Amino acid sequence: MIISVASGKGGTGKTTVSTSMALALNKIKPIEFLDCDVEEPNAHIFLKPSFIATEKVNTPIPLIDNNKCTYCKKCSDICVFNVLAVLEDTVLVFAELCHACGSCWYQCPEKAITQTHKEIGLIESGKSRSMDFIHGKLNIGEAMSPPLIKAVKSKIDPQMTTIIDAPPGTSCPVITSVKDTDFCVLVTEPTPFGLNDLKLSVEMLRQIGIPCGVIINRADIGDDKVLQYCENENIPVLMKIPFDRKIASLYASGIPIVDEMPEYIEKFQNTFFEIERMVRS
Amino acid sequence: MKIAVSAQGRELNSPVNPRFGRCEYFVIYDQQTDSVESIANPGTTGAGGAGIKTAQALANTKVNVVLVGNVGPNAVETLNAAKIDIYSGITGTVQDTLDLFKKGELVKTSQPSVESHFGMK
Repeated sequence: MIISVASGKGGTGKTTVSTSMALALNKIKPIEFLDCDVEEPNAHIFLKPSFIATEKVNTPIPLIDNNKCTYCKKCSDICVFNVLAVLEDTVLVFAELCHACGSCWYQCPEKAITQTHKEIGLIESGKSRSMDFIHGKLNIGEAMSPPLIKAVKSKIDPQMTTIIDAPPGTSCPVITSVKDTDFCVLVTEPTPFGLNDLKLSVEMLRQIGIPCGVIINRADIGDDKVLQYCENENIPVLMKIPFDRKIASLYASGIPIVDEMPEYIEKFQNTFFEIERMVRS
Repeated sequence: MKIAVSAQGRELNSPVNPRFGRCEYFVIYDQQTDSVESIANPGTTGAGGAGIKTAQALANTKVNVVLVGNVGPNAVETLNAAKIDIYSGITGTVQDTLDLFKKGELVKTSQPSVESHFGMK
């Protein structure tokens, strides 16, 4: 079973939820934790893993053979990302725009385009207590995170229960992170911003067919519009976490909630059982 | 010499558009023949790389000089490689801008004036 933890709005408590859920579950079953927020991974601050392995992640980019190129412009015409500029006697490659779709190297009539590789980041893997911990770190200045997220997800062990910490938002990195997961936990807060971005997330998940439930963080601030929305849309509210100074202060010290507030162990375990029931039914 | 101006329309009296990769048209004045043509900017669609596509289109049209408002890093790199001179400081209509250029009042540049995606804001 793979559970992703996502949110439309940033700073709602994704990592608070994902790390504590993973630790709570790890007390009853083997857990693998993946931090797919590769632009700004932070789960390691809470789970404090010791890393055993590091591997570089590359993405293919086009390489032009100037001896074969006839400057016919077929490659720049077919590239929807405008990676290639074909001029009179030179071809410019803007590698940072490349999505590695392969159209140019498959379709070059002169076979003048081959693949070379660009390093975009790395994967570090190790252990946090008895839990497997894997995260991706995108190189600074790199724009394209989905290939790295896919590489992190290639480490998923189907024998284990996997918890994925997704990046915020609803764009390609989030879709790549939550894709093919069995259930997505959406963390939100009961504010107009939280609700607006929750709606975007729900619409995104419905498009790609992933069931979801909501955890409302700082549940006693704001208004009840998030609750109303969930009720109207038949989205289960899995847990409410209060706006509690102790939780904020644990977060600020890099301590998972379940380590200092053991009452949350059972809450997160029960949330998981509820998710498991929904996925299986 | 062919001089292109980023514009909102196809005529000499069309207002200029300060955006390079996302402008609607380029009005191109040919000094040699004293004639005017225009091209629709193929860079306006698509999520990214607009300046690259636009610069390549200008190179295809054998433009020598482009008069712009703002121009981003990828556009500048492509224009420099295509040996198209960039002058910034356009204002008013295409004709106003061409007059300023002829009087030598536009500034030649080979550096980007804005960061990537500026024209999408």
